[in-house]
Amino acid sequence: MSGIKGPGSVNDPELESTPGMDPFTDTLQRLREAFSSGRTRSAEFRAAQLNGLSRFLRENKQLLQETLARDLHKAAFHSDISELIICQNEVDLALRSLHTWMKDEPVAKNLVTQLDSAFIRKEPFGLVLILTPWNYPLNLSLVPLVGALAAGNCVVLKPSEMSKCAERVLAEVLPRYLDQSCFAVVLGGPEKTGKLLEHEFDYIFFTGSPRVGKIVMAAAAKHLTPVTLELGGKNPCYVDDNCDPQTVANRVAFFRCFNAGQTCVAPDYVLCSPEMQARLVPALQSAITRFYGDDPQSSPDLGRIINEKHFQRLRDLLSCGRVVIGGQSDESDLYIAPTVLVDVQETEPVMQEEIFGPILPIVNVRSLGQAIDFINRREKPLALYVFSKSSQVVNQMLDRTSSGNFAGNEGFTYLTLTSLPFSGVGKSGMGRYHGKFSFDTFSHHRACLLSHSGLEMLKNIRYPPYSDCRQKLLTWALGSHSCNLL
Amino acid sequence: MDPFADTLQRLREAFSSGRTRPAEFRAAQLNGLSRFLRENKQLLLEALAQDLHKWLGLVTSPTLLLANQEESQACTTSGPSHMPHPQLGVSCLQSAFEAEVSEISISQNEINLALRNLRAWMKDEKVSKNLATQLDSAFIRKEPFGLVLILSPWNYPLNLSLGPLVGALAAGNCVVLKPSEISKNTEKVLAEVLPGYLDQSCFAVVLGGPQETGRLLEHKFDYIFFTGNPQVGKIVMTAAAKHLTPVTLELGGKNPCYVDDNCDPETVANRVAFFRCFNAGQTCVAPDYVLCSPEMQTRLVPALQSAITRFYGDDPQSSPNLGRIINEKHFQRLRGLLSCGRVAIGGQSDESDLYIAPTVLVDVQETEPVMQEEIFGPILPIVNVRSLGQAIDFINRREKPLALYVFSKSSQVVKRVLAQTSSGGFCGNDGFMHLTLASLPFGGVGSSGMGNYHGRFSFDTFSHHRACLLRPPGLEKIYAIRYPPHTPRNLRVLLMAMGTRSCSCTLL
Repeated sequence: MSGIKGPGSVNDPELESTPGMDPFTDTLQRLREAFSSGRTRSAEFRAAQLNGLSRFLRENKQLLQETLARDLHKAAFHSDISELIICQNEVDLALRSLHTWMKDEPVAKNLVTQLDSAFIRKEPFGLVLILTPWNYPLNLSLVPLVGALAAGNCVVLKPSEMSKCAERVLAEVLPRYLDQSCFAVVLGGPEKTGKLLEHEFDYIFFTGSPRVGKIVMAAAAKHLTPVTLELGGKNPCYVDDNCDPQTVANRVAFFRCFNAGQTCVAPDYVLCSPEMQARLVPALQSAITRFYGDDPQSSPDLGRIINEKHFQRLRDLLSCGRVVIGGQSDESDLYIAPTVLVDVQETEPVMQEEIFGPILPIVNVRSLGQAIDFINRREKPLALYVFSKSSQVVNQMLDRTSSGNFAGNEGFTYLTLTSLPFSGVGKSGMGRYHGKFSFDTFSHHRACLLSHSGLEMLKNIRYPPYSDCRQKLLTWALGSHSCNLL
Repeated sequence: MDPFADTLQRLREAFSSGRTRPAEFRAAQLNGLSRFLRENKQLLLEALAQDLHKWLGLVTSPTLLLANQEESQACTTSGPSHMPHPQLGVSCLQSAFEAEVSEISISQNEINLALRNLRAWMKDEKVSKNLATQLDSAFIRKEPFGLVLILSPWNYPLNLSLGPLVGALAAGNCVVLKPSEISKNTEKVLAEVLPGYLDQSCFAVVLGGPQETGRLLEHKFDYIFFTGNPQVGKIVMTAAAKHLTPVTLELGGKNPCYVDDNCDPETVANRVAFFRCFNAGQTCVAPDYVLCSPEMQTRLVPALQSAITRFYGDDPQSSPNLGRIINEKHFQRLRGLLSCGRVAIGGQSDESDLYIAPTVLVDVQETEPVMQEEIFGPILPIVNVRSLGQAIDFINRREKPLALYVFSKSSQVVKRVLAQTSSGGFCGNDGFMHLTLASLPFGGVGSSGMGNYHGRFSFDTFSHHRACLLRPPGLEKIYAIRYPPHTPRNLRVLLMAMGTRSCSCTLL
């Protein structure tokens, strides 16, 4: 979608076609100057930005719901619980907590520093770049934005060009609610993003695929820019023999099909015994029918695939293993039916890439141990799920695997707890955010020691030359438990 | 032939076995580190003396003689390090003070802190819950990343190897340590003696120069901790990006030292000279250059001379308390800097001894080499500014430094500089004391680095913080309200619960 122009947006077709012209320089320069002026430092300024965000959400609720409906066929309810309310909660939390988070944090002192003032000061990094994806285009833009603004940074937001309607709202409406000397939205596809990444930022926050995550980190390395990467992977879902199949099926189906499966933390595949499978499949069918009716395509509660390319990718996956539930698709509607596949081999495409659609393969294992080995042979996922009535089973899975996040007997509800850090590990990412973790992510924690300008007699002891006597005293003092008498 | 593949494979298998997970294992490793320091103190002091060419009275020590023999091929230094110092007795270890303080004690303190706090740090951290998760167990679990690579430099070769190592081991990782090949004697002790104190299935030292390090970095690690210069930092991060490996980079820069007109010149001179000349200036957080008014300069320079004379005598080259430059290459680099500006104090050098005198340069231009690169030697340029504002602008025009120093009797001045600049760490009216507080995070910002460590920050750096939510099975009736199809009534109930203020509540 070219030619989107609006306050704060940069997408001039003329510039695009002129080789060598950098469309971002002016914008970035402007934001850097604003940061240097110190404008974003005061709590009042930051609170004003957050209040602006809050008003943006409240005053455009209907527009935002329509936007998400057009991009992803999201029902208003889904938009509310997975995007709008989550954003609002984050904004509210930041507003409530801003002064506390901003405060200097005094730290414990040792003997030598008793008379000093020692604390950690939180400072903004400066110019922050936020690159966001298409699957939760509002949430995944605004929640990092809350943290970056609360921490006092200037921000460049580059939303995904694939969720076109959300991109437009963020480019044309959002900037009006923020101080535009300190905030800009830039637009473009992979090529433009590559050019953007050639510039120096003070922090880069990226949500997307591991493949692009590597590109972002490599670009950041050129400027020694710290990064948070929220990536993805295949999130395993182990279903123990000892469980209630219907309860499990409800939860697995709900979280798998939410947003038509286009969720980085959705259960990606099930691991269970053949016996469990026999009980789970009918329960899954029952859940799907209860949720979406006999003809899921006509349910208002089931989303659609973002675009043709992903639709084709998912349609191809439907031929892996054997379809036991669903399997239908409709290109004109970018519709994929809630589908369960069985007899799936580890080598098939559906077990190779992150699915990101309403397709759930079931892979058989013969024991918990085998399931754990299966999981540990693969890349560390963003999320890991275990369903079992036995807390021992849940704890064993927790103890013997690693993942960004973990849930026992539940789906990705933990996302809504701002007191939990949301993060990946290994290939599923680095760094974390949500709640205070966002503020901390976008802040430099500066170690500060304010010493007395006088009292030189006390400090004299550390200077050379060292008499035998002083040497002994100092060595003794240094040898004392946790005492540094420098 | 890949010299590292087998070692890395072995360590990965050990990690997968779960061996490093229990607190007992980790405590045993930390205790091993502690014994390594205590039982080899003499050896370490000698190695450090040899590497950084500090005067050592114990020339009759067999260890020292042995090291000298082995080293004579590879080492480019020669000269009076073998000659007994006229003022030292055989039993005196005066010169070891720096090593004692800045390498051994600091490392020992970190180990002790980790041992005391290990279980507290390892514990699951419960978090506050919302309405929807009231019945659940919600906590953060600290997990080791797996295979950690620590790349350490030559200037504090023990401290900057062991400090991160403490954190990595406490966090339950397997570790590959690559010490600097430039501090050869310490490298040797770390490679040959240290592993004997640790479980060698989970710890390895690898050796080599830039080329071998490049090959090492082609491998996948689960965390990389690097201390060194920004240029190599970029190489490390680029290599890490290929595997999506998180990194902490402790880099460097030019640490400004603003000296206000309102101060006691002698006190300031003591502190600046001491911290500049410590370890012959080869400290990443040393004050690199002074910013002050011309008036202040005229008071400061004589005070600096006085301090230097008091500390190191009239002939600093014969002081047992002044270090030497690490090698020929850095010596030449520093000697080149001596021709910048005008020498007001010192300026002497002796190639055969890798000695650079404590030097103060004035009339220095911003464009001269001494103001372009990190000095890393006992040379202190003074740049004049006409006001505090000008000093702040000067600082902010440049890369964010690892440390920033302000000397002033006025706390307003100190606070203004703090508020209007950024740096890794900051100290008002003293040198790099903030290093000694394990409760402060030690790290850079911008081109001086990313990430931090020391104390608990080390443990957290080397741990993945895993968000966990455990729900009791059943109770499906409560949670059924969230499933489609969504009747208007269900919707209202849910939205009401979610929309509730100050509750941050979602009934998902």
